[in-house]
Amino acid sequence: MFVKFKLTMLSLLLIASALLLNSCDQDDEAPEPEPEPSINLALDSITTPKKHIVMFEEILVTAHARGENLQYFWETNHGSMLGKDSVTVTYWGCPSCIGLNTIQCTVTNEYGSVSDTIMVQVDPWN
Amino acid sequence: MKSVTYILTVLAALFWSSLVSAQCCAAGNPVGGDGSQDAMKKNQLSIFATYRHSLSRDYYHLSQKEDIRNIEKSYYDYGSLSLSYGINWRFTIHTEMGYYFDKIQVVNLTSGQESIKAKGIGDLSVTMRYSLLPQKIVNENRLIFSLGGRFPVGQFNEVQDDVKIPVALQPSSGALKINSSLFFSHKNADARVGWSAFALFEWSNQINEGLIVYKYGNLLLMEATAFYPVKPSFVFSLSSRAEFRARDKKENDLEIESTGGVVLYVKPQMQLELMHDLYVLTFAELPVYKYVNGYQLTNLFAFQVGVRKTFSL
Repeated sequence: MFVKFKLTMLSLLLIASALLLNSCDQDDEAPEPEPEPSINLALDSITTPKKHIVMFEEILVTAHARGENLQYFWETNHGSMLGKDSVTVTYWGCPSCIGLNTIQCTVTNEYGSVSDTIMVQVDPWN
Repeated sequence: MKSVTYILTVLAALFWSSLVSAQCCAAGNPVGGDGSQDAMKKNQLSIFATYRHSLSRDYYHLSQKEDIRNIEKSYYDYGSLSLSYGINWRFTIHTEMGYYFDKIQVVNLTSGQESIKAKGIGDLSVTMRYSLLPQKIVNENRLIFSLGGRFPVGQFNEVQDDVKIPVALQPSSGALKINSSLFFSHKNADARVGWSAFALFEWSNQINEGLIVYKYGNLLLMEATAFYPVKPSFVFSLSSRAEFRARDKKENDLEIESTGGVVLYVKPQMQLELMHDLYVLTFAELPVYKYVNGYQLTNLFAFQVGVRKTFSL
């Protein structure tokens, strides 16, 4: 008798758990999986020695990426950049670039494409 | 009478071909050198080819020149071709397309002097003109209203050394621009000197492409000209122009401090008739007063030469 009761309770618990898991799946849409860094392609970080500069002050911005046959593409919403090599660019901001600006690097190879950004604040002269 | 008409026609062409949009850190873009402000006769086609060089060099803060040499200079060489066609005596349609042979900013970095370069097709300009006054036999008056747009069909994604170059150096402005203008000119057949006036307002939409969120400030431009036919085939004219530009805006509709201002120009112009309906037009554009918001690279001069030929179809 007791064994039968335990089995019934266990079955009910399993059904309730299954229903609960199912409802969770329905309510919370799983986010799109982001590209996992892999040995084939990864952009670990973008670094710069300074994130706070004044007009026309130059900084070097470097992308730390892994993979083979990497192609780099740099862009910014405000400011100018010149490529020293593909991995590193020189960034500066002219007077119309005062404010918090975004620098983005996109690294591409045959396995896909990954991007990362860094923010740099450009201030006016005193 | 015919010569007066031609003078006015060609002067009108010069008005349009000299409009320039200045920018903070580069030489800017021509607003639209369609070269045919005139209301053409029915079934008349005009072709206007121009070459323009513009150089910007000095930084200004308000109305004072500043000793800032981080950007050494910025310049462009631009060729354009415009077509104008008279649908009837009231309506004329104009289109213009240009190509930047180069658009360059020379910068002084701590590592030395470097250049950021671009070239390519600029914006496409399409304008409809409406002649408000009927043509008269004597005493030529022209009053022309126009409405047009510049479409960013050209290159806006130029890259140098894996880096996208700044908006100001892209061949295309990247924005749709709508403009409207009013042109009036008067020349008595027996008077030595004629005059004309021109006003234009231009509005730009917001660029929203990738990381770029940018809106050029509204532009108001006014110009007055006196013209003097030295000989029937040679006309000299002198213009003064005022250019008022509002500040540009960026993300969240924030105004950009170092954009916009007022610039006054003088513009000596010459027009020479080489043969029947074939003209050479040239002018220099010299800023004589500048008041800019914040700190801005300003134009030093611009020079343009063009050839215009008209056909009756």
